Amino acid sequence: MNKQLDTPAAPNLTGEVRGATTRLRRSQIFDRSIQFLGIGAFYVVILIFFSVSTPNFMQYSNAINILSNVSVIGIVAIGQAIAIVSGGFDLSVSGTLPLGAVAYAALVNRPMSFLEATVLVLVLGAGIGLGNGLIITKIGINPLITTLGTLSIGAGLAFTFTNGITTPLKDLNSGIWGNTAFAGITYDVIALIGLAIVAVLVLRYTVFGLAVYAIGGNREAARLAGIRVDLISTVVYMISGALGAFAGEVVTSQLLAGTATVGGTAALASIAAVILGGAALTGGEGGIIGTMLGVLVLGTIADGMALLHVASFYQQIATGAVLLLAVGFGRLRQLLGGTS
Amino acid sequence: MSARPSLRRARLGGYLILAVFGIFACGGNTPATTGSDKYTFDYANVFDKSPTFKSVGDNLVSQGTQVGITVRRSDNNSDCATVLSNAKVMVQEKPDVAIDWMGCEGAGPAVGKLFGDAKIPCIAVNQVIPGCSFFNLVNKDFGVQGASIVYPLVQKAGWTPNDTTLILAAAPGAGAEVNSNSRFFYEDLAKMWGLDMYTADQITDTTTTLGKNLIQVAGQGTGNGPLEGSYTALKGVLPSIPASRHLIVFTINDDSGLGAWRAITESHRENNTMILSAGADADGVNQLRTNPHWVAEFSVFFEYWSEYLLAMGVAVKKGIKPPTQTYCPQVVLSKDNVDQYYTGTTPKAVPPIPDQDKYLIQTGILQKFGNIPGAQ
Repeated sequence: MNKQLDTPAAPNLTGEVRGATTRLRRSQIFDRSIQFLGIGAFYVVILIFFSVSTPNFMQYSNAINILSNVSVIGIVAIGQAIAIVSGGFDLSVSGTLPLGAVAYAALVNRPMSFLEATVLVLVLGAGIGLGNGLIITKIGINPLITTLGTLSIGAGLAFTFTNGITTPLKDLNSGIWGNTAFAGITYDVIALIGLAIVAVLVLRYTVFGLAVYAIGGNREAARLAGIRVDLISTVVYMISGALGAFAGEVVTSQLLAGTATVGGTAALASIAAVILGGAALTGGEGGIIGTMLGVLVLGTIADGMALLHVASFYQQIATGAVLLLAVGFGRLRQLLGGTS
Repeated sequence: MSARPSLRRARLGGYLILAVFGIFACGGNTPATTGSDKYTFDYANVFDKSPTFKSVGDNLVSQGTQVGITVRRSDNNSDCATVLSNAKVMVQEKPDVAIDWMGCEGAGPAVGKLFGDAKIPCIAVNQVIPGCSFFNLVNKDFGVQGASIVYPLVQKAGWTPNDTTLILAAAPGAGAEVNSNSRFFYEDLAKMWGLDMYTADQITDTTTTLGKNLIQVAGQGTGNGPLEGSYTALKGVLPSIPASRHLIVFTINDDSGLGAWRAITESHRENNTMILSAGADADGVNQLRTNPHWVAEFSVFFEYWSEYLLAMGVAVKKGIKPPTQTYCPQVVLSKDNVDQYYTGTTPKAVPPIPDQDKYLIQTGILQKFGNIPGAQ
């Protein structure tokens, strides 16, 4: 039995099976709670460590900094989590992100309203996701290869579109997501939290969400159960693409300029966060809350080490070590618990 | 039945979030600034993976200590997101002066806004940050002077525009200013020598080939640094250039130059090549001295940037208004003048302080080191 953070409940069963299922569910709940608390406790340990180590860490404004810093990767990671849970991958976010970034800058500089520009950016990202989904489901090319290809195309288009030149926002108010909403909290943070809540609800309480887990758990079984696997998979990539492009819009808001040089690490960072949050690369496991914790862990470590002025080389090592430690700990617990 | 675990996990999540915010909320506000006569500067370096650039940060820390200035450093890694998060960390730490060498032109407006809102005096290195004082080389001068060094050499060698290709290993994405060295190099050499005429403005980040003389590649690499990036880029482009053609290679920095040179020697085209590079680190100067094909090295005396930046920081903190741009010391080294400025690969003399930089003398910092002529 695999342990998951926030996998949705299985459909209700009847008869004698119910008792066994109930016991199983209790075991699962216990397991997931332990894992949730494990990552949560790990996060609290990190917080305490940095709080003790540097006086500038334990401040409200720094908490806002961390949330704002992780907002872009967090938004990307929501889409990535859905893709990974469905048994796929989306490397193309490192292409859709810069494309969304430069597209948003160009659109609001035309000038176009924030809302219109946002809709177009989302459509652009979803379009790339649609391409990914169709190539993967209809042509049958591996998601890794497909999204690697569209990553390259997207990033290249972003450079071509701008001629490699940074596009400052003519009206700085167009950078809405970087503005403060209240109490120092910026809109990018609100966007991240809002999207995360929506994603949690969709994955847990909708037929679509259950289908995503079913496809990730066993694609063929899902197909035999009547789930429209190709359609759901394509929609998953559209969501991931749209969120990738939207993350680009958020970056442009934060930088107050559109540049094609952003997003290079978005794919790997988002995958790392999703895995750190308890998802399995094989699909069918994981969820949004765990992913958000993963994003927070990575972002907090980066922020804390920056405040401690740890040399960047050591930061890389530490981040990698934490990732291995957290994922390795989960695996060890599975092995010791006799689960697979 | 299915709502229960969700509810429990949601509750756990809620407690966790409350705990986290509780921890943050308990924190006090501790200004990082030390005593009034001791300054604390925050410095974000451009790209620590390059030894040349890393040395600027290292020197800033060690020389800062010598004059009683604490320098806390970070690495921007030439990545926009890192630039922004480092700037936020600086704001969090409230240094006396923030010095930022971004490596990402796009982050300028946002970083400027962050420093401006926090009222932190700031210095932008190499790329403009609105609201910050600006310290930079004059990239264009390198290009122009480099062309004047190469022109007599190609004439002496009997090369012609018809049998020569220029490869610019530039830095797409780093901004027009940074790349103006290679672009003005081409423009000026084209004017003097009669190459296919293209102005610096016509050579953009997306330019790959222009006319029969110009090829541009990404010399700064993507992720792997300029050494590997330039090597890979040159290895990719060399097969497309007939072996009979002469090559003039202009690289953005010495790591890039070394990578390019490795690709050229592996292709056995070194006897048909002239190369110019920028940075004048030990490897670069050594190449200039020992490699007959390494014809020019642009020195910005990185070894002295820390002195300039420390002095500039103190000036800014004291409210002295710097000029639009504070120039770093710079000179184009050739085989003829390298001994004037370097012993072996170590700088022994630096050009006198430029006129527009003389406001730095008021701070007394340069005098403490006694290295800059005109400020001793």
